[in-house]
This record gives sequence, structure tokens and C-alpha cells, in this order.
Amino acid sequence: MDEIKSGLTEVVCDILVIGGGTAGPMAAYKAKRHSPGARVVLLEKANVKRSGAIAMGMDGLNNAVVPGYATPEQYTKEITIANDGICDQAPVYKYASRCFEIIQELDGFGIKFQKNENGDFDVKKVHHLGSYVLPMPNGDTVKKALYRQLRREKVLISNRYMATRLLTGRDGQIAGAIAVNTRSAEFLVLRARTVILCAGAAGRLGLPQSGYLWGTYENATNSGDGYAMAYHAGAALANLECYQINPLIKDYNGPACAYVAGPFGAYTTNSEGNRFIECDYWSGQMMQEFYNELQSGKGPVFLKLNHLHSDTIGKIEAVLHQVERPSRGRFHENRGTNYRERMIEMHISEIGFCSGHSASGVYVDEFARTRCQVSMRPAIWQASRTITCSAPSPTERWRASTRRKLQPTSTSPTTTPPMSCASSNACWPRHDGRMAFRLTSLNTRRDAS
Amino acid sequence: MPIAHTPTAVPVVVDEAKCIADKGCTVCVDVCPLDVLRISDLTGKAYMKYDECWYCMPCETDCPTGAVTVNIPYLLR
Ligand SMILES: Cc1cc2nc3c(=O)[nH]c(=O)nc-3n(C[C@H](O)[C@H](O)[C@H](O)COP(=O)(O)OP(=O)(O)OC[C@H]3O[C@@H](n4cnc5c(N)ncnc54)[C@H](O)[C@@H]3O)c2cc1C
Ligand code: SF4
Ligand code: SF4
Repeated sequence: MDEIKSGLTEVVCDILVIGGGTAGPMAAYKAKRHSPGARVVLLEKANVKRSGAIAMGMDGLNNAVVPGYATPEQYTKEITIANDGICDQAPVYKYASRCFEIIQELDGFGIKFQKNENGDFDVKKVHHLGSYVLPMPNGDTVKKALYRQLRREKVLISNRYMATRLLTGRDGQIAGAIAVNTRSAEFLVLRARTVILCAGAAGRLGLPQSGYLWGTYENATNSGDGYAMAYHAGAALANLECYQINPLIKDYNGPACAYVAGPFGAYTTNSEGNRFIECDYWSGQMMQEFYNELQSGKGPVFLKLNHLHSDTIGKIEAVLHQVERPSRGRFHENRGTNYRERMIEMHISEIGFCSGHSASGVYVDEFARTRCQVSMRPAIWQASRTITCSAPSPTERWRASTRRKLQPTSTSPTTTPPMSCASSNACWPRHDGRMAFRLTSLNTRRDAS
Repeated sequence: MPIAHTPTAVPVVVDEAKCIADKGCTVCVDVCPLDVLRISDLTGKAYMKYDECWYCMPCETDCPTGAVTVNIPYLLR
């Protein structure tokens, strides 16, 4: 625990962010930037420095919607098709419309996105229809850059605490969470006026082919706690029938990375050396094609790079063996396999929910509000249901979520000064006439504007 | 979690000559997402206490002295 005194069993804060992977730090940072007076606590099961799906960084942003390359409409269509229609378009569209400004902001953090010789973002085509993959030359620094922002904004970080239940008040509204220290088993009660849930995917549903329980494709600490907590607190889950199976390197449960190697000319083939996948980007159709090929007698399936120049392969290795799952290089070394010599056998991962692609998880609307006690206050925000990964969506969701003025009242448990959200309520959704009632009835007041 | 009490071969090995845990370093223990590393009371050096690794490698990358090596023991020819 960084700054919360140990031994203290109750912590009071304005905003509790659960999960410190990618979305969580972004949400906490945004909250603090927006309301410097607010007490923002970021709770993480591991250590925020190196936690979550991209503990070791990422090779590129798989869902970059950059003007000139793609439009939010195209992207929403692309994801809808990839997910076989099992997706809520409103939050996907919202994400896509805000994506570019977040890329620029992250670029400002020192997280570099690849640019071409004209100085424009160098977006690659990997998806079916459009171009949305933006390589990140220093993608290994993502966590460090986010961590720096958190320190600068003085977000209270609480590592090695695992949230186990969301607390609700008598009226059903979210009031905080219970957490347990993963080392000492000490319990912590966190009272919070708003909870932002960023506990990642549910990656440990299926047993990996290796039989090794911790060798999952998804970060092994993402065990679906967030989904369970949200559900128990009254939120709805969505689109779980669109679970995810990923292509991967056989016996090594890491991403196959056709996204990295594809733009360099690599592709997936069957044992006859023929392409059989229309598009390497994850989709229901692609996984079906993959499965069919494995069943057809033309398997196994391979990642083919050995037709590429050794230097090109060197560039690909520099990415694949450095970020995401860098132990991959060691795996090939020990196995005696080399991309230059022959094709590398692939297989499919265990079943998981949303390792970055399927738009499944806790139901949220386009303002990242869950259905938790909608009749009272939409108080849990699920930022982790990112569509194809990455930090941008939480940012945008956080912005949406702070468009109301929070003010402590006498009944509020907090002792911190009022939050100063300089926001206008003009953009606050009014699709539902009861919204005003909800907000004013609960320690939260809307701007007079 | 199964606790390894007896010295067995674990995938993550620490070169005790290089490890400076006795000078207060706990970096690898801190960064491990699965929290499977500890500092030994016996040797004062870091070691893998729980054999439940995700093979993600922050321990090796962040160690200031290069004392940590992550091996992948399973399913190799
Ligand atoms: C191996 C891999 C590689 C990837 N590579 C890329 C890529 O190159 N490009 C790309 O665009 N996308 C990539 N993705 C997808 C992308 O990384 C994820 O979609 C994104 O990081 C998800 O962010 P998140 O914050 O929702 O979850 P995470 O970053 O996984 O964070 C969730 C956090 O919540 C914590 N947590 C869970 N339960 C609790 C609890 N009960 N209490 C407290 N804390 C809890 C976890 O410890 C974890 O740190 C990759 C995914 C994987 C698995
Ligand atoms: S990070 Fe390296 S030096 Fe520090 S305790 Fe771990 S093994 Fe020892
Ligand atoms: S490889 Fe990852 S899970 Fe394994 S000990 Fe190192 S940091 Fe921990």
C-alpha cells in the first residue's frame, strides 16, 4: 500500500477505481485531472507498475480510429461484423469517435505511435474492411508512462488488494467495495461515492491446451472478478455469448501476432502452405475458418514468415520478443524453432471473455454506465470493457462520466473538499426523462446551466 | 496455493551472487503480477516461492542487476 496507512480498515474516498491495468490508471488519472480536490483511490490486485494484460507493453494499438484512415462509422461496422453482430454499437461508436484525441494525448505522455515519412500516423490494414492498427515503436513503455502520470497527479495507489464485493447502500446505490490484501488477508472497506470498475477480462474460464492453469492467454490475474462483482451488485452482463478463442503459437500460450507480422508480409497457412484465412484480424469468421482447417485434414496450421528477408524477420522479432509476452523468444530458442527456417505451428487458445476483441463484459451504455440500480443512480462505471483493448476507451468513458457536478452533502461520508468539475451538463444524456431526478436525489447536483 | 518448502526446480531462478536483496532491493517481488517471488529469510536473496508463473518477465526485465532468469520448462522438445 502506497499511501493509505496500513492497519486502517476503512478508507473513504470520492472515486474508487478497481483494477490498475490499462483502463484503471487512465480512469484514475482523468478523474484526478478533472477534479484535483477529489480523493481518488486506485486499487490493484497486483502492482500497478506491472499489472494487467499489457504488463510488458504492447506492439501497437489495434483499434486506432485515425481521421484520414477510418471513420467511427466504419469502425463500428467492422467490430459489429467481427463480433457476428453480438455487440452494443453505441459504446463502440462513442469509443471510435473519441479515439483520436486520446491517441494524441497518449502521444503527449511519451508513448510513441508510429509515423510515416510525412509525419502522419502510420496506420496499417489488418482488419477486414478498414485500417486500424497503429504500431507503437516504444510500446514497452506504456505502463511506465501511465504510472508517471499517476504519481504526478498524486492518485492514491493501493497495490496487492483484491476487491471481492461491491457495497451497496440500503437503496441499492453503490457505496464502495470490500477488498482483501492478497498477502496478509487483511480486509479493507472502501467507502466511495463513485466506483469505476476496470478489473479486466475473464481470462481463466478455460484450461489452456498445455494443462497449465496459469499459462492462460489472458493475464492470469484477470479472473472475471469484476464481472461477478458487478453482477452481484445488480449490473447486467452483455454479449458473453461472443466469447473469445485466439490463434496462438502451439504450446506457447501467447498471441500469434499476425497483427505484427502481417503488415510485414507474414500470413497464416495450412500444412500445404496455402492461405486459408481471408483476414487475420480476430473475428468469429476467422476463428471458424481456423477451426475448420484444423478439422479438415489440411491441418496443422502455421504462421509463415520463412519467405521473408532475415532483416525483416529481425524487425518482427524485435517487437515480438520485447513486448506483450517476451518469453516467446525464449520459447522458440529452447524449442529450436526459428521463423527464418520453417513455418511455426499454431493452435488455438482456451476460451476466455474479451482478451481485447469481443465487445463483451459488463453492460454499459455509451457513457460507460452500468445498469446497476439505474432507477437510483448510475454509479458504477465499467471502463474495462474495451472493445479491442487499450487505454483510449476508458479516457473517453471517464470524460463522459464526469460531466456532472459532484458535491458532498452533510450525509456524505467524505471529508474532502467539494470536487470542482468545471463541466456543463449540456452533454449529459437526456434520453431518459428520469435522469434529473436520479442525480439530484443522490448527493450529486447538476449544474444550473 | 502449493508452497514449495523443499528446493525443487522452479522456472524462475535468481543468481544469488548478483541479487542485492540484502541491500534492500525488492524490485522483482514488487513487480511480479502473480506475486510468486519472495525474499528468503535464510539466504536474504530473492527466490521463486510459488510455482505459478505467467511467464511474463517483468521480474527479469526490471531487476537492476540482471540476477533473474525466467525459463520456460514446459512442452519443450
Ligand atoms: C497478451 C496480450 C497482448 C495484447 N496485446 C495488445 C496489443 O498489442 N495491442 C492492443 O491494442 N491490445 C492488446 N491486447 C488487448 C489489451 O491489452 C487489453 O484489452 C487491455 O489492456 C485491457 O485493459 P483493461 O484495463 O481492461 O484490463 P487489464 O489491463 O488487464 O487490467 C485489469 C487489472 O485489474 C486487476 N484486477 C482484476 N481483478 C481485480 C480485483 N478483484 N481487485 C483488484 N484488481 C483486480 C488485474 O490485476 C489487472 O491489473 C493484448 C491482450 C493480451 C492478453
Ligand atoms: S530485483 Fe534482482 S536484485 Fe532485486 S531482489 Fe530481485 S533478484 Fe534481487
Ligand atoms: S515471469 Fe511474471 S509471473 Fe513469472 S515470476 Fe516473473 S514476473 Fe512473476
